[in-house]
Amino acid sequence: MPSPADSPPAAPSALELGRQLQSRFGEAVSGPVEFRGEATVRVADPGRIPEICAFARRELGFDFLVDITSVDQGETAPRFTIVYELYGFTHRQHLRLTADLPEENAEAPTVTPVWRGADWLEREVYDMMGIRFAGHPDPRRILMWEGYPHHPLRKDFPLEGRPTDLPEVAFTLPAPLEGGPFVAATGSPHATDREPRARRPLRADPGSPNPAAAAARSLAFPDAAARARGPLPGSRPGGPEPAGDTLVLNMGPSHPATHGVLRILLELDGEIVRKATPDIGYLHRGDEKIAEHMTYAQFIPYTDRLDYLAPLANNVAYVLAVEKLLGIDDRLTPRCQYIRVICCELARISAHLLGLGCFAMDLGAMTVFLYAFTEREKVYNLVEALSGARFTASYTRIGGLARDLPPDWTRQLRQFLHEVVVTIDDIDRLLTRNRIFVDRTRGVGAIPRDMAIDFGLTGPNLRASGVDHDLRRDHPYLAYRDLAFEVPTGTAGDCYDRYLVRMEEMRQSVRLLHQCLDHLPDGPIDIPDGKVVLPPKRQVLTRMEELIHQFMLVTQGVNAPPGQVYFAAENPKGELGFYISSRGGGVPHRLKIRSPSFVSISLLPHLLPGLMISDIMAVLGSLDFVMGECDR
Amino acid sequence: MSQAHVIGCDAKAEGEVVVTRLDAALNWCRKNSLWPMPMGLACCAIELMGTAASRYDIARFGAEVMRFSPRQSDVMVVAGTVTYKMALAVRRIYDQMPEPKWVIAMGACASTGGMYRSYAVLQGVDRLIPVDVYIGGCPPRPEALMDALLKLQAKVARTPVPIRPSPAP
Repeated sequence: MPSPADSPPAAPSALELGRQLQSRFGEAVSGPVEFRGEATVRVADPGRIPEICAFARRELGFDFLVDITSVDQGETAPRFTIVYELYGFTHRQHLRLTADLPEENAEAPTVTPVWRGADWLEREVYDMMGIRFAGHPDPRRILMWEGYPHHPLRKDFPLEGRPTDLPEVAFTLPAPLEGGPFVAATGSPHATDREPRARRPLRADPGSPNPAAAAARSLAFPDAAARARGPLPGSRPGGPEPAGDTLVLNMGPSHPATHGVLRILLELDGEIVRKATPDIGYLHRGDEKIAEHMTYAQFIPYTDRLDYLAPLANNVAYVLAVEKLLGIDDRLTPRCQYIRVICCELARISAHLLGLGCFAMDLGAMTVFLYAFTEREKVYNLVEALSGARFTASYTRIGGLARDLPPDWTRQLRQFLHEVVVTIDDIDRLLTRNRIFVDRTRGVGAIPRDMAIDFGLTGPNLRASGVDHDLRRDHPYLAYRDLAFEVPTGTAGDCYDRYLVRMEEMRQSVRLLHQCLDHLPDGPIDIPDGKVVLPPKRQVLTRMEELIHQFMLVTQGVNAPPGQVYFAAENPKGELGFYISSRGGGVPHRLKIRSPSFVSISLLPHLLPGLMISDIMAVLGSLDFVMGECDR
Repeated sequence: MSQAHVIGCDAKAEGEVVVTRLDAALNWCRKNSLWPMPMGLACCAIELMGTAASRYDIARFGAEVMRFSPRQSDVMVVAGTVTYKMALAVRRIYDQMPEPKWVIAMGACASTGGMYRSYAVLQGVDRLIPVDVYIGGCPPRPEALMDALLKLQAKVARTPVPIRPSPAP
């Protein structure tokens, strides 16, 4: 694919762009501060954020809003900081805007008129941190449910939570921090009593001491209660079945085609979708809050479970972010870099195989799923040999890897590469010219180029819309600079293009893996720095300095400098980014995960209207999102 | 002849008739055709798919008929983290399953909350619905899920079949 004409003679650096912003807005904007190669600009007056953002987008070319993050500074006034990460496709520079908000007036104007993708990002900030956005078109909670009284990422909110109860909707109980009573609330032994139909009207139950039983008792007919309370979110005022011909259909959160626990409220006119309102957060596990309570290294297993189709790639992205904060990302050993590339590309093949397998299965092609899983099992074997687990690998370490490649592993990988291309060709033959598949995907769910950029779509979905952007090539990390690969792009941005882009990406990954195996360097896998990487056990037992390093790393974690960094890697689903705000020490002050799946799902309200119900499966399958990463 | 030996029936003495207890016959049918309701919530759902797919092939145990309609399922496999937002939906789906029904809590999260001791996660699905078999692991291997299925089959085999007394005339 030809590269767009985006190499102007002298691309301005992020610092220069920041200075331009300052010269335009004067006092309202402080000069850009550089840390780890990133420019941060502080906005003095939060009220002028939309104006500044509009200027940054229109004049400075920052057409891509990567993420909006918020930080609770705790006791320090002003209490909240709101962080905008901007990126421009033309000059390929990254700029961060920050603004402080006082606790008593935690409100900022919305930037949704500048980037439509800010809609969901601002809702998440409101939900998690309680910062309101003036003028936001849809200021509702997004991950927790409407009516939940707390903002979990505030520093005064405990990790274990507080008890709440919103009858018929949800309840919460504090999590025990050790042990736990494993008592089942079985209710009545008779099935007829447990059936929801039998429970209307609710039987008066003499005060039961069991909170779970009380919660279970309040379950009968959640929808009836919701109807009594008011309209369902997303439906027109006047009840869930509004006047006229539209019908509200609830899809999910347990539905085979939603690929996890996604719920979509559909307003239907016959079989045609008139309005779609996704409801996410059914897998919100509090990863970001948990991260604030553990050292950087301890969080690695949690990254496995973000995009659980490609844990190896998540591990790599996360440790690279931490290494960027520590300033050691340029000291990684060559062997470590190559093995990490192998991890990323192996994960990409595995994730795309499953994504395509499920996509095809939802459209009726069961064979592809079984073929894809046959290959995935081979990947599992490889990952198991590498890390001991089938896919939750936790294989990377800060500054290195958990262990070197096992003997004979490269030969097995090479053999797998020879086998997987056969399967990719098989899938190609089964689908690419399959009349049913093409009819159901071509022209369906098209995302125009402008819309994709406006919403901040990344990864294969962005490239299918014709935007030639790949972090592996444009901001090469690890050994990608030394490797040759093509970045496939589409033209129409429909479901069929997204399928084709993924197919080609798998082939390119195979090519990358062959190159890695050809050039795999020998040598150590960890950087020789006892303050970052655990020293060898034998030295710990015999030498004083190593013993001290081991003790400090295990008890305190790596000693990170104060500062803030954002690092993103090209994951199978798109740009998985980690924003880390550190106050020094071994625990992050705030860790924000920029999730590509979250962005993909935020497009659904704009993609689905006008399509038939059966097209929803094609759109969901082709967007290929993972709820673990979307909800975090 | 070997056929008669396998099912423990003496064809010469009993002819074409097999005599057994109703419990045993019903449970034998039930335990070999458990239809799972795949409550796929998180990472464990991927292993659940792996168990159903080509290599492990859960059909060998008669449990390949994954039904997303609770009305057609016998055993709910809670595969993944149950958050509070999801909890009442899980409970509601369980309530919609017809009797007799069983629950497998697959993985650490479904069993105890696992590594997610946080404000958003229900600390074990057994706080809402009764669980028959717990599987450790994060996620458990497919072999572990099959082992759980065999344990559940053993439990089904010794469950007394309730006979409702006929109403008094």
